[in-house]
Amino acid sequence: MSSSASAEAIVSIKNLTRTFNDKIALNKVNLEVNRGQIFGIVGENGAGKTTLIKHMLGLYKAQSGSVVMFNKNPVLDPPAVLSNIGYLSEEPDLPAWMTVSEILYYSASFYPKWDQQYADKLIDAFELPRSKKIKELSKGQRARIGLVLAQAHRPELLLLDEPSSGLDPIVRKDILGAIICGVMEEGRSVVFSSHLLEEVERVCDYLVMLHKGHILLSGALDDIIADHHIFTVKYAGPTKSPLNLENCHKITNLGPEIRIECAGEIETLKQNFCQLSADIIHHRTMTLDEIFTARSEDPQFSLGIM
Amino acid sequence: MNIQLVQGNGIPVYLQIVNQVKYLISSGRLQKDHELPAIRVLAEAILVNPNTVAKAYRELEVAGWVIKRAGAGTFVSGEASPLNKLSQEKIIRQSISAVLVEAKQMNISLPEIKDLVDEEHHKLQINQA
Amino acid sequence: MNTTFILVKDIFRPQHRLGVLLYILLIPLLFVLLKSHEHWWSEYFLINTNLYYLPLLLSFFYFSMVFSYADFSGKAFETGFPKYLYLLPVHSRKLASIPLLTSATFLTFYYLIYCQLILIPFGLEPATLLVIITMIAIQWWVQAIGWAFGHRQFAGIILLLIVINSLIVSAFILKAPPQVFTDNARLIAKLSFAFFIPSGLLLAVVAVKKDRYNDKIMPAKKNYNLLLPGFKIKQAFSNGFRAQVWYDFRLFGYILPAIVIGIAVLFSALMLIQGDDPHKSTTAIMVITLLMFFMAASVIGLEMAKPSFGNSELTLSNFMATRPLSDARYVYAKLIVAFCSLLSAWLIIVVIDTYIIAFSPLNEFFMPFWQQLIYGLNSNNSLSLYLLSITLPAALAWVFCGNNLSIALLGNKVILLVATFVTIFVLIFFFGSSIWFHKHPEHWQILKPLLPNIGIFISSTLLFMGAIFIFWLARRNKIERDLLRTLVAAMATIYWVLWLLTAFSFPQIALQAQTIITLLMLAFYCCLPFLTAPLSFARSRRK
Repeated sequence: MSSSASAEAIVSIKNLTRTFNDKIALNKVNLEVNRGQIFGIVGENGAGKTTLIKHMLGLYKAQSGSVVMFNKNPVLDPPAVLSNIGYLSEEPDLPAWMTVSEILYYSASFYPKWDQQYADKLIDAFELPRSKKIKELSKGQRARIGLVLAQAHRPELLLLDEPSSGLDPIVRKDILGAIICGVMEEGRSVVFSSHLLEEVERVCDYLVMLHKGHILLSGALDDIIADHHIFTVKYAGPTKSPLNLENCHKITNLGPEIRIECAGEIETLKQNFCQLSADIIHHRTMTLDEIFTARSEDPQFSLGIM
Repeated sequence: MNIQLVQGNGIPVYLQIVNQVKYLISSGRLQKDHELPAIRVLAEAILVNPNTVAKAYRELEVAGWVIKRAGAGTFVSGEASPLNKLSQEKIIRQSISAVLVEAKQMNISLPEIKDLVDEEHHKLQINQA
Repeated sequence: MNTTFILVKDIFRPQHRLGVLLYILLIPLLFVLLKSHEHWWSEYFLINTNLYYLPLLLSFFYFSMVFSYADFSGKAFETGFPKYLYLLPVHSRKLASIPLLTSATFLTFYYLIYCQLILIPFGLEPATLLVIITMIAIQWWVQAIGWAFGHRQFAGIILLLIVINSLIVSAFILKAPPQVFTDNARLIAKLSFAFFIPSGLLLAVVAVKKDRYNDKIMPAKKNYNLLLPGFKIKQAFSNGFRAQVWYDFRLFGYILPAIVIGIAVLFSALMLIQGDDPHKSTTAIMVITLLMFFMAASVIGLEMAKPSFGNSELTLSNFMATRPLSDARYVYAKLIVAFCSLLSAWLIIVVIDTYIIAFSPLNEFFMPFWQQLIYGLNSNNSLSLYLLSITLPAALAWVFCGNNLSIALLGNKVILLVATFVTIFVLIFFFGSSIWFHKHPEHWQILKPLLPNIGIFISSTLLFMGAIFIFWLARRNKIERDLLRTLVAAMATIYWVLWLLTAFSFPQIALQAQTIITLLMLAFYCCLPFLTAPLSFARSRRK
C-alpha cells in the first residue's frame, strides 16, 4: 500500500480557514497530496469540498492558513499552477456556442504540453461529434468533453469536483477509467471530491472526510477502513457487564445479540470483548458510507487518525 | 479473469478480489501455472485502484495461492505447497471456531457436535457418490 | 515565360473575359436606354442619384470581384488568393502588386473612356482625379480584404461592403457645384492618396504573404492570422493570449462594426429615396450616427465583462476562470478587442461621413461651416483640423468604452447598473443639449464665454470632493485598495466628461484640445483602462 516513488508534495494545505459572511466554510483544514496518489475528498453537500478545491485552483484567496500547489502560490501565479492542472467541475460550464473542435483548438492554445493525437484518440473513443455545438450535446457528452480537455495536456494533477453527479453509469465508468489510467501510465496525481462513497472506496488511496467545514478523518483509505468495525456479540454467561468501550459509536440491542459499531485496532478490541465475556458472533469492517454516517452524526466519535 | 465486485456489504475491495481469486482457483477455473492478469490490466478492467489490486496479489502470494516470478508475472501455484495447506487450515479453523461459539450459545455439548459432524459428512459422501 | 504576363493574363480568367467585354459594351447601351426614357422613370423615382454614374458603379462592382480573384467554386463564393499562383517563382510582393496595378490601370482607362463616350457628350464635366482615386482606393481595399479573409466565411461581408460603398457613392456623387467639388477634391484626394491607397497596397501584400506561407509551412499549432482570427478556427493558436483574443472578438468584436454598417446601410437607403434637399436630414443622420456610435461603444464596454453579449450573468464561469492565463493578459485581450472593434467601426464612419460631405449636396451647407471653423480658430490648415475631428471623438468613445469595461470587470451587478444609467444619462444630455443650443444660438452666445471657466470650476470641485470622500472611506478601511483605485478612475472619468459637456461646441473642443494639458489628460484617460481593468478583474476572479 505504498504511494509512488517520490514523496514530493503536489498539494500542501495548512490550517486553511475560510468564512463567508460569518459562516465557516472551512475550519483549519490540513491536506497533503503527494505525487502519484489518488486522493478523495468526501462530505455531504455544503461540507466545503468545492470551497477547498477552489482554493487549490487559486479562485479563492486563503483568508488564513496557506495553500501551496507545485511549490507555488496559486493566487499569485495562476498560469504556472493552472497549466499543470486538469480540472473538471461539477457542471462543466463550457461555452455553449463553441463546437467541439473549436473548444479543442481553443484549449490547446493554452497548454504547451497539449497532445493533439491523444485528444483525437479520446474524442474518437468517446464518439463525440466534432462539428456539433456544445449546447446541442447531452449532459454525459459534455462531461466527456470536459474529461478530454482536462486530460489532453497531460497535467500533473487531475482535479475533479463531483465529476459523476447526475451522470449515467457509463460516463461514470469513463471518468473512473480516466483516473486510474492517468495514475498508472503517467504517474499523475488525482484529487477528486465525491459524495458517491462507493466510487471513492474503489479508487482512492487516501481520503479526507469533511463535515461542516472541518475534517472528520484523514489518512490512507485502507487504514481507515481497517480501524472501523461492526461486531455482533453475545454474552457468554447470564451476567451482562456493561460494555464501556472507548471509541464506540453505536450499540444496538438485537434481542440476545448486540451490535456494536466501534473504532480501534482489531486485536485490542477482540481482547476487550474477551475480558467482558462477550463472544464475537460476527465481525466485519464498516463501509465508507457507514463510517461517514457514524462520524458525522457523532462528533465525540474520534479516532485520532489525523 | 472475471472478478465481480459487490459494494456496500462491508467487505473491503481487496478482500473481495482475494476471495474471488481463491474461489476461481479452488473451483478449478484457474489452473496451476495459469498467469493472472497484470495489476494494471486488472485495475483498469474492474476500475479499482492499482494499489488495492497489488495488495490483493500480495495477500494471495503470502497465503501461498500464487507465486510471483520476477520479470514474468504472477502465476497460480500448485496446491501441494505447504503454505497453501496452512492457510487452508486457517480458514477451516475459523469456520470451526464460529460453529463452536454458536453451539455454546445453544448449549449443545461437544460430543453432540461431533455426532452432527459425522452425520453431515455421511450425507455429503452419499450425495457425491 | 514572363511571370508578369502570366499573372496579368490570369486576372482576366477565361470565365470572366466574356463578362468584362460585355460590361464594356453593355454599359453604354444601358445608359443610352435609360437616358432616352428619362421622362418615363424620373416622375416615379425621386432618386437623388446622378444616373450618369450609376452604370459605371455597377460595372465597378463586377470589376471588384474580377480583380480580387473572387469566384464561385462549387457552391461557395470564394474570395481568397488563388493557391496555384503561389507555385510561381515570384515574390509575394509581386504576386500582390500585379493585380492591384492591373486593376488601377484598367479602372483608370475604363473611366477615361467612359467619360469620353458618355459623360462629356451629355454635357457633364467629371472631376476625373477624384473619382478615379476613390475608385482605386475602394478597389484595392476590397482586394486586400478579400485576400486577407479569403477561404473563410467573409465573402458575404465583402459583398456587403461593396454594395454599401456603391450605394453611398452613387447616392451622393454629383449635384455639387464644380468649384466646391474641386476644393474638396484636393482634400479628399490628398487623404485617399495619403492613407487609403498605400495602406491598401500594404494590406494586400501582407495578406498574400501570410496566406502563402501559412500553406507552405503548415505548423501544427500556430495560426498566423492576419488581422482578425477567422470566425471559425481550423487549428490551435500559438499561445493562450491569441486564443483569448479570438474568443473575445468572436463574442464581442463584430458587434460594433456590424451596428455601424447596419446604420450606414439604413441611412444610405433612406438617402437614396430622399428627394432634393437632404441637408437637414443628413445633419440629423450624422449626429444620430455619432450618438449611436458613442452609445454602442459604451455599452460594449459594459457588456464585455459578461460571458456573452446580452447575458444577464456577470460571473466568470469555472471554465474561463481556470484558463492558465494571467489576469493582466486576460484583460488585455478584452481591451485589445474593444480597441480594434472601436477603431474599425470608427473608420467605417469616417469613410462614410467623408464621402457624404465630399460628394453630397451637403457641401453647400458644410463648406461655409468649415470655413467659419477655420476662420474662428485662426487656423489655415483644414487638413489638421479634419484629422483632429476624426481622432477626438474616437478617443472619447474609447475612454467611455475602456472605463466602462473596468467598472464592469468588478463583477458587481449594482455598480454595473449605476454605470449603465450614468452612461446613458451623460450621452443623452450631451447630445440633447448640443441640439438645443444649436436651435437657440442666442443662449449659446451668452453661455459660450463662460463655458471654460464654469466647466473647469464645477468639475474641479466635484473631482476634489469625490477624491476626499474616497480617501476618507479608505482610511476607515471600509474599502479595498484595488476597488478604491478603480472607483477613483471611474469617478475621474465621469467628471472629466462632465467638464467636456460644458465645452461641447466643436470649435471649443478643438480649441481646448489643442492645449497641451488637455491633450495630456486625454492621453491619460485613454491609457487609464489598461491600469484599472486588470485591478478590477483581479478582484472578481479570486475572492
